[in-house]
Amino acid sequence: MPHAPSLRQSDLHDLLRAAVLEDRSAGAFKVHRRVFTDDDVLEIERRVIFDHCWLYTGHESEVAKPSSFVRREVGGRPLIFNRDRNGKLRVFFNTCSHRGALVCWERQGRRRSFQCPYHGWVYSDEGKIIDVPDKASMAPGLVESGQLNLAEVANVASYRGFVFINFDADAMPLEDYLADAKALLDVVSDQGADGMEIVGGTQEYSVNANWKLLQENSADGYHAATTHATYLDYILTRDGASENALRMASAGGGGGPNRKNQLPEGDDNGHDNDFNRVRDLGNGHAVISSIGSAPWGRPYARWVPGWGEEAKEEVAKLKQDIIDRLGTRRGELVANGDRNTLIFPNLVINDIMAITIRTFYPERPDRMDVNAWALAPVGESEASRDRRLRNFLEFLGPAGFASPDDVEMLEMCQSGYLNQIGMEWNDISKGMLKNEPTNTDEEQMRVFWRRWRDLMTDHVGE
Amino acid sequence: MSMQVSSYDLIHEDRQKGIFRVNRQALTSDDVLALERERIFKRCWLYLGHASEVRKPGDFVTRKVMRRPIIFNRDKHGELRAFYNTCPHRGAQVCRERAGSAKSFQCAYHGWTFDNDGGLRGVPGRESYPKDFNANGMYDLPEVQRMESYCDFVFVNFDAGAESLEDYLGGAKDYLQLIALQSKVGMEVISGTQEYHARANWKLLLENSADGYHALTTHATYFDYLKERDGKAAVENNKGKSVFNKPFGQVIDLGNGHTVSESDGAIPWGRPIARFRPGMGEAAREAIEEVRRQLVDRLGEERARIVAEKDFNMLVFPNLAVLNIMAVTVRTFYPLAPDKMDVRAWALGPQDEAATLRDLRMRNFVEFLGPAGFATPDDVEMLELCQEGYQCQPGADWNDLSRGMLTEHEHAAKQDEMQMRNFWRRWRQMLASDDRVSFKIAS
Repeated sequence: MPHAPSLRQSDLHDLLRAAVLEDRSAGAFKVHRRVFTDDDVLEIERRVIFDHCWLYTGHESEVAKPSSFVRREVGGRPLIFNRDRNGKLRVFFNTCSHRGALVCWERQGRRRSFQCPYHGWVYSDEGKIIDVPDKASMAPGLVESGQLNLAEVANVASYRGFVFINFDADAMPLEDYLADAKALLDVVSDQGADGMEIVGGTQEYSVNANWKLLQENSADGYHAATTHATYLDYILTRDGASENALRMASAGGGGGPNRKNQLPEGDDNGHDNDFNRVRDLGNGHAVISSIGSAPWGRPYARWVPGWGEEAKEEVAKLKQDIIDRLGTRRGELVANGDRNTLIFPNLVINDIMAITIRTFYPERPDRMDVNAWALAPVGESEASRDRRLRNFLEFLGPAGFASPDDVEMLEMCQSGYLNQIGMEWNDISKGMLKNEPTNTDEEQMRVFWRRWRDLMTDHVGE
Repeated sequence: MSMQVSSYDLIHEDRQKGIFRVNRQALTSDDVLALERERIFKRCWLYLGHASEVRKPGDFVTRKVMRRPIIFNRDKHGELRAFYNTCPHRGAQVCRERAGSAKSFQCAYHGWTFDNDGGLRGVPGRESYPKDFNANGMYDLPEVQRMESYCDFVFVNFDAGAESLEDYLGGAKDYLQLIALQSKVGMEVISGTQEYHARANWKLLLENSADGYHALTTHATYFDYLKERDGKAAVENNKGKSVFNKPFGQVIDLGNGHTVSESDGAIPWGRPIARFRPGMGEAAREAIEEVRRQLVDRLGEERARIVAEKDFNMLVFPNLAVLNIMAVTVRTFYPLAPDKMDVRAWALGPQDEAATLRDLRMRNFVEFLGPAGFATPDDVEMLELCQEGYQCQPGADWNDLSRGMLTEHEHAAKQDEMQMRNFWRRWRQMLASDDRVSFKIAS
């Protein structure tokens, strides 16, 4: 056989059962490095995770008008995400039912129909086949049978404008799947009085590392002081030695507990206090969050000196508007809270100095494709949008202060995994024995890995 | 991880309803490709080259056929030979040039030399080997199991027990003859090879190489160009419709999975042998008419008309396309991976062709089917778009090849898909052959 020999099926199952080792009493948590390097593991991930979990596809604002569409690749599959002429959101497999060519090769636009460039078959924006050149040569009734319509993704659902798909027709409803992560999508979406929108443009890049490393990295408070020393130096130089910046830059990544109980007494039931720490959101989702203790500015709404005195007044007003709209407690949370939310398996919503929606897919065990978008309040002023986009690029952009350093770290990790004969395990135990792990602990990764382990081993033996 | 299926599960054929579908795993699975290598490429006759490429004793070309490096040459006795290009000592390729003339080949590693008939001639340090070293010829250059030719088209087969080339070619022989008849003294490969890759399964190019259905859409640019250059009459009928708009020509099953898609004089372009069209320029008219007169003298009116006017795209199973249209393109291609292939193509022309016509031929050769021509880049784009679409599995799992199926026994037009069905039926049969062992595909 020309391709690499596979693990024997039984070896693979043994590997998966033993890949995540957890000893709660000893505070030990280890992940075997083969899960980052093995082709067979990736194949199972595709089948049991990517083909059964809800996967982020886009935001409703991207297809605001009837017949508008964007092209997307989700889980390695080329898709058309559109709103049909009747306003219904749809997701089609972007492949002609004739010989398979992509029927849509523009990135985005508005079209009532899609024509395959190969032999000219035409589909409506509802996926119906509406024209076959020289139809007389086709079997009678074949075109009308619906069998040649564009194939549609089994399950499409949205929550607060975030549109997800599931390739499994029998999947649980999206809201059940999102579990407590819904509250985080609420907080993010509540920033805009008139809703939220994707700011045009996509960040696209590839990383020579396993996809799970970026999920770990996207809510890792521990690496900031070392990996992002350059950024913290820059902030200290630009904005001055604020308490927040100094704490983040100190050894151990800020060390001490997050500042707590910063939320004013409020009108809700106190539930929002939960946001002020690492939280398991259910189904493998997790969040790390803090209130007012990060060193950067938030366009909605926390001013920093680097924005200049002239911005001070508008930022203060934006915050006041949010408080007027949502109340003092909820308003403070929405405006001044920073949070990195991980939605299993591959969606990150980093609501920090801007809102970055990031998703990524494995191309190979050691390579992933990353896509990211900026989410912003509808109707944002030009000045505020400008601050937001600068922030969007400055830290998490592919050429920002953070992402290149992160990518470098992930690729160094992946290279390190070549040493499996000598060192087989990653350690993810930080803060495991604490009652309340902090943002610089690793509970959020453990939440991910426990879910990963459950899904991957549930299917063993199938 | 996988389920056991046979190649018959990958093709859904309903003759009554006229439905023919191919599961896209056939175009994406590593296991399918592994099986194709075993059951198709190791058993079928594969095109190696044209006898004209090694005209004189000592002439050679080196070539890869299904990843195997081969020396195709004419030995000192004038015999065509096909050797594996690998030293029997430690395996290095003994010939590193693409083409040339050599009485012997010397391995670059330890210096062993071989006659151009494959015999081991020199071994440095011979005294350290036994006296009867190579008495049985086991250190001669290894020869490809089988090599046979028909009308100067030379094929190899890696299965020593394979049927003869002529039996294998079946009805394809008639069409190879039609090409040979274009010249009184013989055809030749015009030096130079078109080499390119496509990120698509190899079978997609087989389908595409005789697909009359895609012309109007995929090749719209080319027809616009012809219209501009040669005038409307060249590409449209008197109702202003493209000649490709309605089914025309015919497709014929040649046996063993081979098929030809042909038409007589219905196509807008000219042929150096021998159909004049205005786009060729008035200067060429006289030369082409002269060629036509000579054909009539040599072959008679009817045979000459067929040789001059018949355009055909012939698919020789599994991976040879002989495209006798505005020029003669001989095209073969090999899988590198399920989603990647290597393509090679050559131009054939009469050895005695006048310079003006040779010039026309070469323009035609690159104009449409050349890697930077009007057609091939568009075709490659389509095949790559198809391959990308196959990522939608499971979800969108089948290709449709039903066109014209209900009428294929009375008549199959060029725009129908009988030629593809014919290929796939043979493919299905060969993959499932003998022991009918099933194979794995990802579920």
